[in-house]
Amino acid sequence: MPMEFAEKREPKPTIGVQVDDDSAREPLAFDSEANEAQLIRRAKRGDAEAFGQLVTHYQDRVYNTMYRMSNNHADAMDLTQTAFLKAFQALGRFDARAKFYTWLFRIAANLATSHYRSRVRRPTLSLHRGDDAQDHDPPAPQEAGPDGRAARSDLSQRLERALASLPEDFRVAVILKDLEDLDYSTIGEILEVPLGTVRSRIHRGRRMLREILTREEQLGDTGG
Amino acid sequence: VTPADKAQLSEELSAYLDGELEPPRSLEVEALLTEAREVRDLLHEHRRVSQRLCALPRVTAPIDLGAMIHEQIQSIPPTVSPKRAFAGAARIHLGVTGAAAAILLLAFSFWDFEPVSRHAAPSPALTAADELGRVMSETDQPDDRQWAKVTPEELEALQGLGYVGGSEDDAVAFADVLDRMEPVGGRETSVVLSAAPSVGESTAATDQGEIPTLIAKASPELAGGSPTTPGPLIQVTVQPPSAASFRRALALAQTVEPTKKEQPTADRERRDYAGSASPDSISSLLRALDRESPDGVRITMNFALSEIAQAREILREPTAEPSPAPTASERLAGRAIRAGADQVMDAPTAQARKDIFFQRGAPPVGAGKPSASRAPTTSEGASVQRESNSPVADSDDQRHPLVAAARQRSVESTADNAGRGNLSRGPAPIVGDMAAQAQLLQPYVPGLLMPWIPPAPPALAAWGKESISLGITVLPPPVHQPASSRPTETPAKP
Repeated sequence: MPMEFAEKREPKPTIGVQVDDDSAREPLAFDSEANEAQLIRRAKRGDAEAFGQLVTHYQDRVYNTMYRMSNNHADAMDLTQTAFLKAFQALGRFDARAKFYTWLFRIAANLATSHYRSRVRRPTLSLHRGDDAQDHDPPAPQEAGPDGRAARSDLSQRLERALASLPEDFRVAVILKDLEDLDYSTIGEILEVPLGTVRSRIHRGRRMLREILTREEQLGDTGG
Repeated sequence: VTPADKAQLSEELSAYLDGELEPPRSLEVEALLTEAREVRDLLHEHRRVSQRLCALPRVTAPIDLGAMIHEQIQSIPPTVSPKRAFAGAARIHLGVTGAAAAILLLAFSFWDFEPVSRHAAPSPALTAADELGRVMSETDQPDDRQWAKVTPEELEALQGLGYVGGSEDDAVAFADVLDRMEPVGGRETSVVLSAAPSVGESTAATDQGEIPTLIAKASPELAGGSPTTPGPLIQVTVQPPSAASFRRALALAQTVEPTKKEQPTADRERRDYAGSASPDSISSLLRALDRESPDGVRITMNFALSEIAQAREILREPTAEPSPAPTASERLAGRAIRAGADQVMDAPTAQARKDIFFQRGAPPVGAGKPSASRAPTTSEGASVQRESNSPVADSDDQRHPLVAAARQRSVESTADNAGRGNLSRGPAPIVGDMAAQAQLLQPYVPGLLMPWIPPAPPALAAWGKESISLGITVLPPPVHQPASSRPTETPAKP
């Protein structure tokens, strides 16, 4: 089995999920835009290794977005794989003047949105009772003490639940802004919507989140 | 301050927080922040939510994800897989031009490309647009003049199966009719938006208002074996069809930027389909169609006979005998389809067309226009669709075992797709052999045979094509008829 994608990464102690640390956020060996363009050209000619380098470079970002969209590691895994496969198959249509990650994220975002809508239409139940809870709980960060970890984990979980409850149009906009730190223009390109729509969706998404969290806090205060 | 103003201010504060508020307004907001505590509180709330989101731990991909992707990419057939060979042989010309007319094609949607992931892991299906993009990028046969090799006999059969031109009004009127039609037995009806034979000709013809003439002219040229232009080869199919979606597709097609024929370029990708439309235009069109049609866009490809023959070779079982040449009865099938089309289009009203289209019970071969007594009611037509999705048997099954069989396959297909986590958009396709589907079409098209469809090839699974659907659309005018004698009546708009 070809392992060149994985070899560049340190072995991770957990399965399927990692809490990012500073080193993990550092870009991999990816010299420049020119380098990326060259990799894309090679990948267009069917060079799987070149495409593998693109995968290595972007997989964490895509995976993180997919996870935040689906709130489910299995789905995030499938969606990420599918996004890259689609990208590979559609590379011939990629316009070299565009930004690759914008194009890639557009594929991924469309997939995630379709996936979400499909799930709404056809809800599924896990055969493995209890797996879902585990699946939705990323491990707590290592840097805090036990109490801090617990508190932060609780807040994170509430926030994740709230995020997952947003309509997908708002959720993806908020994720791309607040988690991926993309500017409105790029988000507009990814979602193929005008800037005004981006602004509105981000605002409404944040407002909904605030309302959900506030309601939960009030319920917590009253013991509800 | 009205609630609307507050909402507006709140949105502006959110944008301000992101550094995305236009400078003049940004200054005004800053002034407001200085003056009003309420505004500051609101900004603080936005910031708090944003910061909380930023603080969410980043989730990184599992370590084996890259390897899994690599493995799947490797499993994508290399250069000469059957799928690619088949696709590569297709001369792909998106002949939609800046001024192109919409021509409805009567067609089988021979092979409806809706690729479905064949990997074990559940994953969303790839879209047809992606498949088309892939095919376009891989097409390695820039010479698209193979139409010239089609014999007159073959051409006749192909025309029967293939296309007949019509005006834009015809197209929209037909789309209106389709609006009122229900899918039959799990199949979907296609409206095919197509092209004039070439950029130059379509532009000239459009300018002169002679699109029907142009189309009538195209086929004799092809029959003569010395075409000056390639035939219309690729069609963008909007499914489910509706007048609205058709109009959108039409409008989009008219924005496609043509490129000069045989434009010299060092870029092979461009060279491959220079002469039709630019890659960017095609991509843009496909993206837009995908976006505009939330229920899915499918690309239907029609092929020249030589390619169909090639497809048959590819799809044939290794042990099978070579495919025989099309028989006379097979060639007649095309005419039969047209006869069915004529029945529909000759009907005086949209409702009558629908009734004919949905009539059940195989009429005798060569039957003329259906009598009123054979035409079912609207509710009967609708019931076909319900049957196809319902596991509950009823008396119709007894009368129409083929419909029941189709329904059963549809149900199985749905269950199969659900089990795989197949996220393909749109109704679940009938998965099964095409011969059975051909039989299913017979009640609806008198005398229909399926000459060009290879017999139920298990090899389909090997190239990842899990669904094949057949569509049938109908159009009025005969191809060989000169424009002057072409029926001038336009189907009555419902």
